[in-house]
Amino acid sequence: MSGIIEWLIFGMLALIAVITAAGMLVTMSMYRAGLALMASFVALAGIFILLDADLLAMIQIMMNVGGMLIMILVMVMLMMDPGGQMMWDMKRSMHIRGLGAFSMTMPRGHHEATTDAPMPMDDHMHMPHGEQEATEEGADTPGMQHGGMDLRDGQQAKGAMKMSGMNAQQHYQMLVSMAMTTAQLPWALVVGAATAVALILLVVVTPWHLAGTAPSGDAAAIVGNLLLGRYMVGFEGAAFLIVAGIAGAVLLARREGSPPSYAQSLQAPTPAAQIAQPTAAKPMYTCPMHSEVQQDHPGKCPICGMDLVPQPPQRMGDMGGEQ
Amino acid sequence: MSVMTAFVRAALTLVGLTVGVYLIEVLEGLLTLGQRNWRAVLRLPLARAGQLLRQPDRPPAHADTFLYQSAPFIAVITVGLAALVIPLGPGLIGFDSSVGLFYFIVLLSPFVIAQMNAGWSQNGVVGVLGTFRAAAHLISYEVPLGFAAIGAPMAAASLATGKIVAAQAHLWYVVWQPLGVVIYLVAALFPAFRHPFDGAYAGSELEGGVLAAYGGARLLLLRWALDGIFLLLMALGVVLFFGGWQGPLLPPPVWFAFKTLALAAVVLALSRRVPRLRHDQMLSLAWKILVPASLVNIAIVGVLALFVFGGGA
Repeated sequence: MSGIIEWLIFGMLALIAVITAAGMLVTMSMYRAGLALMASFVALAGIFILLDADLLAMIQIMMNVGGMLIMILVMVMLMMDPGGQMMWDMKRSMHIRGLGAFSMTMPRGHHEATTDAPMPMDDHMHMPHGEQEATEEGADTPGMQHGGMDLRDGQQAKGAMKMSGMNAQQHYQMLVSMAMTTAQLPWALVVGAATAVALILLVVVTPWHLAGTAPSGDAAAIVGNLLLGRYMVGFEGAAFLIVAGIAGAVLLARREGSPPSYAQSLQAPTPAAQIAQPTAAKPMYTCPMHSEVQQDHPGKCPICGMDLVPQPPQRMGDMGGEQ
Repeated sequence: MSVMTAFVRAALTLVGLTVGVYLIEVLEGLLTLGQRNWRAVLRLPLARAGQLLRQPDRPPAHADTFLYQSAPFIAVITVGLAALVIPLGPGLIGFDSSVGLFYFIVLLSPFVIAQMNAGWSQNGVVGVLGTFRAAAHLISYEVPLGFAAIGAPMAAASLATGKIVAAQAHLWYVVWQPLGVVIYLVAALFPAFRHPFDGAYAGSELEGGVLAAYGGARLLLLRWALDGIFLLLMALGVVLFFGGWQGPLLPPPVWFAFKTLALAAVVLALSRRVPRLRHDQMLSLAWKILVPASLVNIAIVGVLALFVFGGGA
């Protein structure tokens, strides 16, 4: 009875791990991708618990949830469209089929054989529907640089072509650069599946040495004793390396050690600016309210009586405009 | 353990947590409305719950529906799972893991992730701001909370929560780890999103933040989870530093409940006196004060545990 339940739980966890891993690949939302990866690792932790390795499972959850969180944060901060809404809308309006971000079929136009230059917008807009259909059939010649893509869906491309006014190659490049489609995906799928089959075969075929003893109760105590006993040097060495890494990161992140920021580079006169304007090295003082008041020493503004402030040197961009 | 026992334990855990959540709400109400209005205070949580249950719950336009709908359940499930390792009495524990304390602290991160999901999925400005602040919470609490809590297992030589309580039979750890207690209680307010560190909700500033778009039963679940995690963090504090279930005369679970509520009342009453901290102030507090202080605490506890109190194993 309990054996069946264990198998059921294992199957469920394995299914969750695989499905969420696949979901990470096909989703358009960066946030969802990170979460899916997190869920996959948590499902693996569940399998660890099933194997009585609770310490390992906890470490797995802690490291991966924290790590994925940082990854999500960085992606959300850096990406233009972290929620995937824009890409999703674009994909829908172009009628590209397929799962999520990666569409299996490349949208295909009818001018790819004739020219690489972009077609004028009007051509697409005013082309009668039937004529377009006919041209498309004629242009479907082999020898194009599609690298084994599936060219089934001509219909979906038309909406895109009408909208964009690009030829197929450019359109494809655009989609690739937005990671909405890729020609390599079918091959990647084949290679991935083959790798998975090979690994499973390897696991099944290998004559594993089974310990035969029941797992011990208090894993934390055993690991702790080993870390501070037999593996003391490695453990402490790793700790030392981590401390050195943290110290190094702090050192690198310090303002003095880092290259000057953008604001600083605006303040400090560059060598080029000094050559162009020898007087730029000498600060001029000006009134914050009356910019026409300028003198080469600090003092009070004759108009309003405010303290004069150092005038920032002229920027490179402004000088370029003058020259 | 048969399947039936597991179900019974899960149901009992949820019922116990709900009672605890109600008591936390009552405590907060007493502090807010004053003791004279105790009749209203006793009724208020129930009235709020009833009102939320009657309210419709519709996701906002363009919401990430899956995340929006699942986030309250992730939060509640995490709280329920974390509650399993809290020992109410000798042998009275849902899941007697050998790494119980670690298990609890690990489960706090999925809880914060659930709050982040709730904010992110709304597709609204205040929700996303709440998400970022919740992430700042997660980065803040993990290290100081873990480092402060580690004093107790260092002294007890075990990560199992039951053994940590049993090791305090003669002397509670609060007596010789006062620094650890303070750091733990401050850091415990981060993942619980309690008052001085409630920037992810920030009622007056973010209109509820993470909770802004929620309504009805899902809002009730999220509130339940928030109170529940606070209750559990206080309960873990009692386990780690205040001798858990131990006490004279009364049965162990009563002592445990009493200590937990007393600790919660003290923490709630003290935290009300501090103005809300901005997220950058919170990060500074966590990394510049709490983390070094907790390292000092570890050093002190290590020396004391080794030389004064005879060491563990």
